[in-house]
Amino acid sequence: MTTRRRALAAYLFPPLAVAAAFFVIPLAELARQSFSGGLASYARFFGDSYYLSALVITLGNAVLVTMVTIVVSYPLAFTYWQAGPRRRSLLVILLLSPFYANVVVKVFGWMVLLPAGLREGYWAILLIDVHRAMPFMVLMLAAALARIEPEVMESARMCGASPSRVIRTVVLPLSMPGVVGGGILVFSLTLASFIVPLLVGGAVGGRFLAVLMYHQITIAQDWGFGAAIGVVLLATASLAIAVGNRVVRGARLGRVMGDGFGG
Amino acid sequence: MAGIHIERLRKSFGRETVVDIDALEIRDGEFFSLLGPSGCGKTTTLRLVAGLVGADAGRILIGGRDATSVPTAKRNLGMVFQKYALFSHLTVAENVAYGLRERRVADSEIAKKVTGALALVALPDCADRYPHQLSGGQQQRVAMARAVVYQPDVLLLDEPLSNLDVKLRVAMRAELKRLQQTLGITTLFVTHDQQEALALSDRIGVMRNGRMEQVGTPQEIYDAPASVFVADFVGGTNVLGGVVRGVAGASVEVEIDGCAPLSAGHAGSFAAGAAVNVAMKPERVRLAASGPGRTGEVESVAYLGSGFSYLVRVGSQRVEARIPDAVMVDGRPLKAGDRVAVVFDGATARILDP
Ligand SMILES: Nc1ncnc2c1ncn2[C@@H]1O[C@H](COP(=O)(O)OP(=O)(O)OP(=O)(O)O)[C@@H](O)[C@H]1O
Ligand SMILES: [Mg+2]
Repeated sequence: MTTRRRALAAYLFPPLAVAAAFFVIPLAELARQSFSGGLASYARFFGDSYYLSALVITLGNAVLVTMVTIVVSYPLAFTYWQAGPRRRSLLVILLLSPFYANVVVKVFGWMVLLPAGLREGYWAILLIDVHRAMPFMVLMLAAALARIEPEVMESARMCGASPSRVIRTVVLPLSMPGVVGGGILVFSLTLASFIVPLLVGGAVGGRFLAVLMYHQITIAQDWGFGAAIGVVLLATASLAIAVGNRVVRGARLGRVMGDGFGG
Repeated sequence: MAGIHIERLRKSFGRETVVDIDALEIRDGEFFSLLGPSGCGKTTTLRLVAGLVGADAGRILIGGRDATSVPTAKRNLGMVFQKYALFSHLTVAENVAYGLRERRVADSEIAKKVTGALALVALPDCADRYPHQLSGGQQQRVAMARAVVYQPDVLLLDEPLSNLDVKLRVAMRAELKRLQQTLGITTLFVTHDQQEALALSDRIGVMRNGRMEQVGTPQEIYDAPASVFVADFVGGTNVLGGVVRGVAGASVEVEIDGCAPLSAGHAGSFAAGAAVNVAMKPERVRLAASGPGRTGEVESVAYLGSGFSYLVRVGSQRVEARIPDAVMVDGRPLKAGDRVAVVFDGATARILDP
């Protein structure tokens, strides 16, 4: 028992050490710096409507990107799920293609492709954020769909459900854990999005928290305030993940999303 | 309610022909079992009737109407899958209500019917639970209630009892039969458990490599298997290899190595010297412990409650004899190692198709 425990500790030490050195310690340092002037940085953030509205813009964008990504990705994941092995391998290459280029390369690529009027501003942010998030979402959805047993859908057909009714009453509800899981992933990813609003966001891009934080640290040299923005961002993301987890756990107990099924 | 009529039904996957049924008639209200070894095409036949797979050729009539090209949802059939396949996101009541909702039955009517169906399967207090909160046996009942609540024309069951432990399986067997008789619903039941098929069915179709090897009542299948395959699969029959010695009318003189010659009935024609298989019920085999011709050796004796089962080796074959009272030799019961003469009752012996 003790030898096994010792062996386990030996295995766990390197990753834990790396996590501590490069994640926990910097995070603690960030939190410490945000309180360098007591609560002053937070008082400034929550007392100024400019920063509060920036929080709303950042959150709002993350929510919108998440929703659009879900809507765009679902049909793709569904097609992938229904496809035979040949079409599947082709689809996987296409679906994962956004991963092949770094986000900076993606941004410049879109700048070339987009017409002049759309090259800068909110629509460009939305478009590129969704493009970046889609593969994550499709993978999460495809994993959830793959867990649905064919017999369950066949049962619905036996009971008289048309193909579209099978999707609405069986496939959609049973894939909810994937929707929520993918949603959390995309939401966190987008909340912290920095390069995209910086490069194509124009005026509104400057109101994203990650960009504001960057400006506080590089231009204003106010490390304390920059750190406070970072902590607010982190807290928001954590809160969203906690809420999402709740919903997923509820989903496993049944009833995530009704379809007018009794009380 | 409706019968099922199958005509020249054929289905292949790739180059393998999985189902090839020339004709099959399942009567209205009948409990019909498809029995056969794994991979013989039972599930595929059921899925063809359900419309879950398309036929390559042939016709399926349900209640006299051609259903071959009718989509599954419009066939009005109930089905219970081996793994139950309940909707895990819906409560028990919502699972049962599913088929009624799809038929746009009024809410008040649904509530009444769901309560009725859950009472029918003896599961009245679980309406608000989710499937994962139920035992396997309870899930099985929910699946059954879900399949019958909307009064389908035919009930299709694919090994619905095979996931239950032995004791529960036997209990559920009786309940399934009671349910089917209460509803009077035509039932097509798939199993590879011969006991189950014999106990439940009005008639049984024994399948082999996608074909119907024999169709008949449990008694016909058990007492008069038409082929070596059926006799082997259903069990309860001695199948012995012998050689034809002569033919006299409808009976054939057969010699089985180590036994006295016997004449067995068969309609076909045989040439002398041909190798044949003879079927003989263990209840029709007698053992003589004294006298001449004691070429058999008792291998084992088992007490079955209703009598004794003797396994006897004769020549290179083994014969089972079932005898109500213990066979005595020198004033003591026959035991393993004793030598006996095996006597067949020619009147009930039959020559089987290979
Ligand atoms: N969708 C499919 N694609 C390819 N082959 C299939 C498919 N479904 C069934 N088969 C093949 O058809 C044959 C019959 O299968 P089927 O499921 O009907 O057998 P079964 O009699 O129900 O057996 P079991 O008792 O094991 O359930 C098998 O050889 C199986 O491999
Ligand atoms: Mg099967």
